[in-house]
Amino acid sequence: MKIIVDKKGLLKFIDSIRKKYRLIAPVQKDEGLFFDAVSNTSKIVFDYINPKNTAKEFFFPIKDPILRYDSDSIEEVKKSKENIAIFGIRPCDARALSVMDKVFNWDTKDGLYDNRRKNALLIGFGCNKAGDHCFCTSFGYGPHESKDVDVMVYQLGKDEFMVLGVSKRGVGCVVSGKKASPVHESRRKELEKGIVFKKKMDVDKVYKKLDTVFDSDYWTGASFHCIGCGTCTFLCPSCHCFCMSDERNIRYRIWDSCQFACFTKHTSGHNPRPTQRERYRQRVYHKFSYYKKNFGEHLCVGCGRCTLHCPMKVDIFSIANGTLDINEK
Amino acid sequence: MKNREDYIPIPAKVVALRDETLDVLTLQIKPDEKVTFRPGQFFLLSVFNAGESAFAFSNDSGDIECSVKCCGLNTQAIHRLAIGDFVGVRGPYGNSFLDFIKGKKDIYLVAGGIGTAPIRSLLQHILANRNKFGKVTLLMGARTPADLPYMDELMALRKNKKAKVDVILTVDTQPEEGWKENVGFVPVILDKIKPKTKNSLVFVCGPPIMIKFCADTLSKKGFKGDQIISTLENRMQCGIGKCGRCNIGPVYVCKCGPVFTYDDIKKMPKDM
Repeated sequence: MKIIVDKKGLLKFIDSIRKKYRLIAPVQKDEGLFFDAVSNTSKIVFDYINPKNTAKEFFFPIKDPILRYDSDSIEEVKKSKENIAIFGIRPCDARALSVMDKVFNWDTKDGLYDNRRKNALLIGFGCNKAGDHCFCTSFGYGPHESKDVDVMVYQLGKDEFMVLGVSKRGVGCVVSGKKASPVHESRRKELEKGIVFKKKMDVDKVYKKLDTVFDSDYWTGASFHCIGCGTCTFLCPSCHCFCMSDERNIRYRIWDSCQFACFTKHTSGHNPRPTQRERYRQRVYHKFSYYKKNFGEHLCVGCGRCTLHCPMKVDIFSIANGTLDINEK
Repeated sequence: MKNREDYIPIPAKVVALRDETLDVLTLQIKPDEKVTFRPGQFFLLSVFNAGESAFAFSNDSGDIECSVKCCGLNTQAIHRLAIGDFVGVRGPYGNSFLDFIKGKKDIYLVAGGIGTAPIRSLLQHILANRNKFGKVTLLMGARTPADLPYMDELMALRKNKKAKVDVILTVDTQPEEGWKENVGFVPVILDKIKPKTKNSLVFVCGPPIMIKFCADTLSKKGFKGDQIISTLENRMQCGIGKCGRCNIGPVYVCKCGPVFTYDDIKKMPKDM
């Protein structure tokens, strides 16, 4: 079901979601635009490429308490029963969640992630323009993709929005409004077509090429500027590596990064990935090769955050795409 | 196991401790729930306030036993444990040596230093099912005589005529006095004992460099890649293929391993 609403109607719809869910939406903070809990829908920002943080942290928090321990017992930390709804999630972030579902349900399920994920409501927001580093269309989907969300919202005009129920849960949320006509749908298609992407990669070609260039010197140059700060992995909507840490009688699951020197270091002192060359190469291979081998999909979704926020402007797009130009035996 | 999904360990108690060498301690741990495991598999041992790390089972059945070398922060905390102390265990995870044994085979067990721990688990399994295996040879090496673990057990095994296990010991360099066994690196002694390729399997555990040279020695003698079986010991955190640090290429050591044939290992990218 597709309905047409004005901004007031859209805010009313978002407000109605708040009755059953804790609402997360893009809001302006001192440090920039972030996904955060919203109590007043008028604070929601509608004009943006992507918030700095991603939707993953609401399902896979930065620091997630797992258990409480003392000298002779272990007790599970009770999780909040409150379900969350995310408004304004872009198709790339929504797809990243669908992609991450696979590793978190890889024959052993991850209850911490799954329980949050299965009760959440995702309200997507189609893009009408692309960022400088966006390359989602390289992965066989686009800025108006709706299959990974429950409800999809498109902005057709300054005060005109199309709301579309996608999943069963999503359809149940979209109740009243003017029905959309084929004119509206063609308007949406026009808008989608009008988006100009500066970057496009043949990911299948890169996938095949990566099988042959693992030992290449290319990686030394490609990773030369990387300082191993891990920003790319923390802002990535699909990076899922973590470690555990015990602090004051609570064990937490904490985000970790393959870009950190000690990530793979053995107790013996041996490190399988001793320099940034191996660590950056691991990130590229995980995104464009390994994940597809194990799960049939690329772990990168092309949101461009890693490049946009990298302090050294290391560009994963150029580095992955650049492998196609390697000519060595 | 019900707790697996949420990374909650099973509460357990340390019931016995035994010093194997100056820096290797064997712990016997009794979990609140029964844990059944097979040789080659691993589990995660939690010392609360220190952390959780992966260890191979060093026995075959009953309470969990593991041998830990004091190296890093977690292993130091483990070495400070006393009998009766509260710990957590999560597992078993991974595949087993037994998955690679089809039919009655002659077995060569090649172990270096702390790498003897998982081999001991397999050795106990073999001794408990002795008639299912052919000739059994154990070759164990370490830097010095003082670094050889499980010496009491192995000396008893040598004297036990019924067990029919050939125990060969070696150390890297000639000790000052009183050493009547071999001197030389494990791969060199392995070459000397002339292992027979026919209907046999070699299980190699130890430092990566020892595994490599043992595999080279064996390959030269005509052993095929699937007759040489080893374990990879990458750093792990979750044990179930999610935390993303134990992979070598697309292979997750915790899920697909830790036991691999030399054929498998050769196919992996050089990221070890």
